[in-house]
Amino acid sequence: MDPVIELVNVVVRYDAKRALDGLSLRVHPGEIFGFLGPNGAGKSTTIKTILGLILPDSGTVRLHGLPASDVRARAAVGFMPEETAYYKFLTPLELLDFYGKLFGMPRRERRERAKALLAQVGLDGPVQRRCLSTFSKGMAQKVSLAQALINDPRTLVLDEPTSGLDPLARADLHRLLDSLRREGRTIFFSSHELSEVELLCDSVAVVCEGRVVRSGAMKELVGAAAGSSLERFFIRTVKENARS
Amino acid sequence: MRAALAIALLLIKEIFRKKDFYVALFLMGVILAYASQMKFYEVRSVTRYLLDLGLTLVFFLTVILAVSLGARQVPSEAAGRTLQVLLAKPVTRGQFLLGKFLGTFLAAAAAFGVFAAVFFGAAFAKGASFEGVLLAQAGFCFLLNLAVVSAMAVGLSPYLTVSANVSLTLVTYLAINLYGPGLKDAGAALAPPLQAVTWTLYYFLPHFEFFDLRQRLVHRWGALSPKLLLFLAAYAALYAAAFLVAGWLGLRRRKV
Amino acid sequence: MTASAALLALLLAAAGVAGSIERRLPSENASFTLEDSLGRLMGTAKEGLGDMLFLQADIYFHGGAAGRYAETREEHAKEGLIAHAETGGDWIQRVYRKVHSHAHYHLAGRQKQELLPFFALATRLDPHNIEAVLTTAYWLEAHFGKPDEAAGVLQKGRRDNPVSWEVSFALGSLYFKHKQDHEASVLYFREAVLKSEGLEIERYHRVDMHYFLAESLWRLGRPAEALPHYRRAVSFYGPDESPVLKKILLGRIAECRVAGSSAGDVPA
Repeated sequence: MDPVIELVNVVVRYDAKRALDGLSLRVHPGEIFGFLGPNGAGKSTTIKTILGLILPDSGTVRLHGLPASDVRARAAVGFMPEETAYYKFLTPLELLDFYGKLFGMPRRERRERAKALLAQVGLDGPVQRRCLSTFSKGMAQKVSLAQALINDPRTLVLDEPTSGLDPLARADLHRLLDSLRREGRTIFFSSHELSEVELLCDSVAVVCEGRVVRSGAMKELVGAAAGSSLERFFIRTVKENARS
Repeated sequence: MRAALAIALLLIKEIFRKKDFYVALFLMGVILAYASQMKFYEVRSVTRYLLDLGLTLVFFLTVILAVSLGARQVPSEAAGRTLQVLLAKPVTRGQFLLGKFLGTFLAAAAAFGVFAAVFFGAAFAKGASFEGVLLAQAGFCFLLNLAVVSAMAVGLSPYLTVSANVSLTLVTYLAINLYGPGLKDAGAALAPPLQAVTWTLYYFLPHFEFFDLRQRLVHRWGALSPKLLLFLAAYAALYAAAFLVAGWLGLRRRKV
Repeated sequence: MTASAALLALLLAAAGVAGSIERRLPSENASFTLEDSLGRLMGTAKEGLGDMLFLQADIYFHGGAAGRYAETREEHAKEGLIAHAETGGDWIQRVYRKVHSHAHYHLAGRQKQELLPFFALATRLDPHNIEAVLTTAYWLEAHFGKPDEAAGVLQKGRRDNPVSWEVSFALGSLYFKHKQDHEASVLYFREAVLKSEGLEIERYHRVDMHYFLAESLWRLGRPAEALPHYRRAVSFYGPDESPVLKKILLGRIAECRVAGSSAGDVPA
């Protein structure tokens, strides 16, 4: 089966510094893929490269079989950034309606879907018509998730999706991601919450200094031995990389 | 085009939901109200000064709104990270920039419509009259002017901060309007290096004064020929395209 | 109430309080005027604005065309279209001249009233612009039939510019020609003569000052006082200059003598 996301020897430079230094990874259809790494390892740069926000200096990036720079590749992708980003003068309904237009969704469909998605993330009722400038961080994060789902995407790319969410909202998100995986969607997400990665992900990759140092199925990497955990695996991997 | 139009409509919402437009409208209203009640030696039938002042206010306030709106599009989207979310959708950078330009132009044109309605209401109430064809031409030419200014502000926004862009665009706009026609003669009196600079500016900067029909409207000089209008439209289209292409070149490979 | 609306209300209230305080501040003039506030706000920029508005009056007179005109005497007095715009120049200049008409045009008839706002504002904003004061008074008196308003402008101009002989002379002329008030015209012409002493001014101005002062005195039945001024006026001309005017002046001198003024040497 062709990978949904494929990066081969990708190099991205910011002036003299290599943010990605020959990074390669593959994400297969229908899996939840966890992307881990210490701060400054290149996680956000990788995500931006996958989405065509950054053009690599060398190497190839393919999304749904198309070059990542091809706008058609993003037609079936939903993206949730690490920091909430919205137009403060809009309401959540208007924001989702706007993003729906960009996907060419008919008016009725996108309006109905916008209401349903906002209700699904816990923003039901009059709050849907309140200006986004009045929203708390947690509420904005929910809107951010809803906009990532507006086009009913085959693939979701999430950058620290549970950042800013309370435990209840976090649990709701986990359930949502699980249900999306059961629908056959592919989810690629980065997170510092190793417990949720361990809970949800089928595969993980650990990136250090712009390179994937370990990747594979969760069970194989972490191991079945008693006392083994993703946290221990992660710390061990990062330390080994630092020594080498 | 669909994406560009969706982005454009967003800007129209923005201009009417932020304070800038209402501040400009209030300012215009106050100035016109004060000016219209002034009496000069007990003569009531003077209207040209009011038309001149009103048209100047309408034109320049609209330009200021267009520039401030256009200049902040790329920088504020980048700073607010909405640019990442937007470009992660099936939207090309060219569509994004085109949408921003259309939005700036349409939003400013909508503001112009409101300002013009207020102004002409006051003018007609004071007994002013206008030649219909010339009035339409003046509005059309101003919209051409607005298109070039909007393109300039949006085109420069990938390269400059908001304040630098606003300053540069407005200073260029005002300077060309005031001194544009005289730049060639001024350059002729300068030493060669400065002369070359002056003449380069004279030939390459857009001559915004081409689109300013206030003198004809206020002093009743009569309409322009259709051929000239066609030329002005082509001139505006050329400069707008040039600024937008320059903006696209700056945005094309930018790391978002 | 939003923060913006509250700020706006606060600004308007502050403006009202400021205006109220202004009225109570001691000032040269008894009544509060806009110029006092503007002067405090703008400083000398107010005068610059006034001068710009005065120039704008000339542009308006020429139908909004800000070109350079070398008018002949005949053209100067004409109304309506005087001459079509010049041609030539590069394509930019040609397009500019097509959009902004550069034909030579003068406002005609009632259209000239459109100059009034600029005259009014120019003299209010820059009361020390003598040319604006004189031009405004001239137009009010000669073109708009408002000699009283012209006198008002000149009176204010005289208060604002106490050393200006031009304003005093213009006042004298106004009272002499239009109001036939020779007592007043004597006052102002005398003032003009005194203020212009020691200044380098055109000879014909001095001739006019002394001549009209003398005429005013003559019409008041004071030939003895008029005589020295007629003589002074004649003294500005050489033997072969202005024979017509000199003839008039010499005629008046003779009349003054006949009327009982003291004999004096008159240049041949």
